Amino acid sequence: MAAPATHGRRSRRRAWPLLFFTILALHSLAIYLFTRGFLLTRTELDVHSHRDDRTGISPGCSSWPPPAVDRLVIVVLDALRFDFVAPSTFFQEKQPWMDKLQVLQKLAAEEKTSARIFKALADPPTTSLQRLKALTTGGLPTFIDVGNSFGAPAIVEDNIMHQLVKNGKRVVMMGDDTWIQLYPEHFNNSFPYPSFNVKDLDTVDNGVIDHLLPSLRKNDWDVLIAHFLGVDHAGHIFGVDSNPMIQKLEQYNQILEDVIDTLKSLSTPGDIHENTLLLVMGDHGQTINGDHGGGTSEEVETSLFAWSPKSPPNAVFSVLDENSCNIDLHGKEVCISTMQQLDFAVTVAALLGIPFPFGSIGRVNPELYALSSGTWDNQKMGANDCIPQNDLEAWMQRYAEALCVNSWQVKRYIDLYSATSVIGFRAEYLDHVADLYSRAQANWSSVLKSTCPSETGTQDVLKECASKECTSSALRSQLDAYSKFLENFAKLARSSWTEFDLQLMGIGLSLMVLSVSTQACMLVKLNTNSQISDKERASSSSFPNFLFAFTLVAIRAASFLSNSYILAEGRVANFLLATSCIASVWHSATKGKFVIEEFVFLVLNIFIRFGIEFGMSKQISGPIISNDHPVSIICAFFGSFFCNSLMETFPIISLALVAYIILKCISYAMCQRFLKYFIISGSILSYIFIAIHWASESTFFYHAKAIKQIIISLAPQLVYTIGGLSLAISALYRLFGPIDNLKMNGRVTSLSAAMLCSWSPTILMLLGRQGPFVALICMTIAWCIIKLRQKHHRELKHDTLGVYVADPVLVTRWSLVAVCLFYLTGHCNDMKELIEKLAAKIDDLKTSLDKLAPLARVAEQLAMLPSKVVALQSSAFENQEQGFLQEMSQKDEKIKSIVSMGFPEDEAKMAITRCGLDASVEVLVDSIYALETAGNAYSANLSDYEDTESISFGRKKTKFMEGSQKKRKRYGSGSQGNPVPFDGSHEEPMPLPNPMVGFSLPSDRVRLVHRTLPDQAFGPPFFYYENVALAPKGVWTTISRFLYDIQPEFVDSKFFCAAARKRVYIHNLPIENRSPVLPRPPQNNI
Amino acid sequence: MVDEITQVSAFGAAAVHALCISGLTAAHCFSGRGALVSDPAHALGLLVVFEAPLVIAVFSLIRRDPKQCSFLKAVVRGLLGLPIGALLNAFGAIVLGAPVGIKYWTATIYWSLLMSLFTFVPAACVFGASKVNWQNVLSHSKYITDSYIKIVLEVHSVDIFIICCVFPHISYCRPTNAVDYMISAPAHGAVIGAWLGAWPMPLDWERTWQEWPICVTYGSVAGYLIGMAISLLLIVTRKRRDRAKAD
Repeated sequence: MAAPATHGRRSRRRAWPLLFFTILALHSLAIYLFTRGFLLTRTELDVHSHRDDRTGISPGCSSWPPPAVDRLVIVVLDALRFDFVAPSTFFQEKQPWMDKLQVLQKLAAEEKTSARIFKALADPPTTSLQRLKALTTGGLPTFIDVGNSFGAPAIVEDNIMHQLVKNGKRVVMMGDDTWIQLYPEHFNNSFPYPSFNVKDLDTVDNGVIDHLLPSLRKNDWDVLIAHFLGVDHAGHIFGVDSNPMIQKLEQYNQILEDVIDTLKSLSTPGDIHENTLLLVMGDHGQTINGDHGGGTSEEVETSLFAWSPKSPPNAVFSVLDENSCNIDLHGKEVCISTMQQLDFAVTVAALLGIPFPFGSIGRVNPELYALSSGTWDNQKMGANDCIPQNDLEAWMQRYAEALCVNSWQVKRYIDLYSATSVIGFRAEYLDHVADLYSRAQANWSSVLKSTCPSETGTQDVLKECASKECTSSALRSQLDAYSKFLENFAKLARSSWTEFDLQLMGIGLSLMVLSVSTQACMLVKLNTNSQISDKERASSSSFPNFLFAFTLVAIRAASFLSNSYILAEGRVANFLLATSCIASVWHSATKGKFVIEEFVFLVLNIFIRFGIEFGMSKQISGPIISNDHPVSIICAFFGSFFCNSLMETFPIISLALVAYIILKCISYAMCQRFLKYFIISGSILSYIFIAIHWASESTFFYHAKAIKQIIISLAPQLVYTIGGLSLAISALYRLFGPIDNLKMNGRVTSLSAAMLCSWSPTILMLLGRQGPFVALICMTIAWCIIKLRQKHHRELKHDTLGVYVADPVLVTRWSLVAVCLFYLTGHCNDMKELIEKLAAKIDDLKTSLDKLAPLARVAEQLAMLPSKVVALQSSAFENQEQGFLQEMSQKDEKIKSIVSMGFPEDEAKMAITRCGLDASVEVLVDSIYALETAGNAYSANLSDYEDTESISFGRKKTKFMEGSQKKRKRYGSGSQGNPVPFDGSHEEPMPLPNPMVGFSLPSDRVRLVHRTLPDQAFGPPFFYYENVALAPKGVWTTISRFLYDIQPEFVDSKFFCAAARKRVYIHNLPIENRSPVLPRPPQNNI
Repeated sequence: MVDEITQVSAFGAAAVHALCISGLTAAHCFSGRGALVSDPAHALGLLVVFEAPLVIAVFSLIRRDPKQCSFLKAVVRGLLGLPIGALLNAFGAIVLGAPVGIKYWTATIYWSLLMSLFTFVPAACVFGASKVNWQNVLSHSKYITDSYIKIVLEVHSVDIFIICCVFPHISYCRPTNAVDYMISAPAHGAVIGAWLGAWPMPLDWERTWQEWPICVTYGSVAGYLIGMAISLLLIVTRKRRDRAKAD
């Protein structure tokens, strides 16, 4: 009876490794399949188009199309929603943010032949970087393009910028510095501004404004790109339906008006802007909350406005789509066309006459192409003006040629891509597309015959088909054929580059579930095997334990549903770990005993926590450690020298400790004499090398520079070599060495000790300075957990079989400790970047999941992620939102009461914006009346303010606002636009690091009229630094630190003018006799 | 043995709890609305000042061993227990991730004093240094859940036999005192409430109440109140059952 039982056990034991590997394989397969469906990949081809590419197709289509415009001005307004530009009559309901860009609407209504509003449909992912890439390459970038390293996003694919440079066009860029990242050396002249700080609504925009108009008057560029970020940032912080957003849009309206005026004034024949095209466009849309990244219609729909000073002939109407026309606010008809953002790159390339980017898969957009009058210049370049053609036919001919080249270029890309890429397209789809192409090309020659019979020399065709309808219908069918080919391929590309493969993802997920459940089954089986003896005890004591562990795991899993918790993952894991420790302390306290290991565990938890926080603070605010951190408190207490020397020596001391422990470990664990001594000496050597390496890096020990260099470069190599050698020797020893008669357990122990010793120096070297600290904590925690487990087992009086049985709480603890250690090593920074990228992607997944109705709720949860990502960076501004909400509710009440009097809602809103929130309802009503009277003069006044180039825009606007106020006074209305109350009740709470000077006038605090300057800063040269106040925590302290520690002065201009501009000044101007500026007394007493 | 333990009726328990709550409300009224959010340290200090004498006095009155221990001695025990409990609570909070900057020190000290009043001081007043009683109270979390299950089942008039079959680990005839309930249930409630109250802190809602001691204080006070309600419920049902048994 006993013999078969032992036999069975032995066979089972032999089967374990096999099962283990099966599960491992199943796991990896599942992960591979899932990521294969989830992480869309596209191979970037590093091939470029050239000016002398020949298509090899008969006339008209053999070379790149001729240029149609000379100069191009591209104004990119980041996150420009479609309804920012289109008139509100196109939508069901008028929203406060609509109709703010009046210039564009007016132009589109008045100059129908030369101005047009487009609804541009972007492709997900709708983030700025990917969109800029798409706009210039004409492709469909995914998040992880093969060949793209995370660090340097510079574009390797062929793109318009590259082509422009290659073809001698000069490009000027101003605004968002993402352009510089993407195109480091493509611009003749560039004025980049940091786009990183979401809080800052003005820096980038003001920078662009400073350079835009002066540049427009210059003649040293061919393409000008101005990228404004204000709307995007306003959306991220305040949402679309907010005052800052409306202010931004109004500001843009003003800028665009100036731009258009300038262009108009310089567009007379012979002037520099005679043949210029202006494009005002958004790179993507945004949701009402200001999020973008996903594929919802709000995010995808952006707008493009095209205008050229010279208008094409009236025949352009037959090209332009007349389907979606509507009457705008002023009773004029406005038409809107739709285009794909994908088509942008190739259309621009066709207009500028440069080779199309190699990887572009767009189609030359007929409407945008037709808008430029250059494309209507009666075939000056073409050789085949054989029969008299009317404007339209000539244009169609030219467009057909462009499309022909376009199709050829796309076909060339398809061929190369499917030949070289890692994951190509499906063959049947490819065949279909190729078939479409060959059919279209076959037609081309017959179309040529019909349009230009003189070339073929046969007069019959002319006779048969002399009528214009015949010619144009042939051309039309040809255009259709090309369009069909291009559209089909775009569809195919979209399906494989922007849509998740739900099938693969599903298979991956179900495989994962399968493998996890197999594992669970095996574990349960194992448990029952070993616990047969004390079944009832297990069931009674392990149930609460199991429940507790399960709760911890469930909480951790649930925390992944919120982005805030994902970003605070280290802290969440630490919190849960601490909870489990406290619970176990509690548990042992009820039994009336005190376990030292648990106390040590608790203290270690504190260490881990501070370590994680230290890493996070390092990452958030750069070199500045927040004042509240224990490390900085210690530093403040003991002085900086002590602190520095501690920082320098601490890693080396802890390294010595780690080395001691490991050596002790080996000497106990290993018995083979030769191997033991070799490995011990090897690890001692490598630890010494590491110590020398760190010591030479620090400033604490002085070395000659040359020696330092040698040590720094040599030490890591030596460490790695020793590690590899000892690993190889222990493996060889295992294979060929004398066979020892140790037990299984002992062999495993000695083997793992050897592994540990040979790996540990390498790992420590790679981890860097905090490595030994982490290792120490790791070892102590492991010791604690193992000790606790041993005690636990002793209590339950388990035999050796119980080794298999794991306490669920301890297992959970191990995993939580692992997470904490990961964050302790500080490698979370790289992960965080990846997470943020993926979060936007998950939103994308949501759109796909929407198709699966039962999963819709999960999708909703996932959709919350990107919104959180954006708000993440906001650590300042704590009360802003509350104050804002309060303000909004107040505003809503007022609007309601005015509307109930019979005024339109939008006018009520305008009045509140003008007169301030605290103006009484009567004042508001008066102001509406006054505006109606003043209406015409008001709008005429706008153009009075000719800009002088040096004046910044904010100031100009202020002047303008003052002007309008004066006007209202003149018209005798009782309203006075005093926008703010002066009782200090309106102060906006903003957690700025210093006392706020200038907010909430007249304040209860005595105004600062004198101060003491440091000696170096006293007297000339005087400096005066100014910037917006809304900066993240610590920025102003940093700035002030660099400016002799002069206290910044926070001033809000709303106390002396109508515009609210929160500014900060740091200067060393004498202020001895400065008197505080007092606001004008309120005049609105009726 | 039974006669030397103070017996507290359900009304007595309700009165004790009402006194404790009145201390909280008085402090709340005195500090004004929203004071906890705008100036947490000040508001917490007020709460401690109002609550401390009440809690110490009330629980000293119902001390476990009135024969050997005078009222004054119980008060002194409570006063000694206050800083010790505060230390324990502060240590727990820091382990769980409470910030330790200079900015937060006063708030943390006041908060831990308040937590000590909720958890440690009542037990210190009533039990003194009696180890068995302390263990009894500490392990109440289990008995409270057990008795909760029992109550629920009894409300649904499930047979005792079936209860014993389904939940074999419920010890049915453990003698528990009303005072034990009065101390342990609110204390457990306060700790669990504070633990739960820490959860909104990392969220990005950008509200002022997400700062360190504020939401945790809200959570602990809420948990304390709920714990009081539960303890009353337990006492009432227990009395009723005892009476039924006696009949």
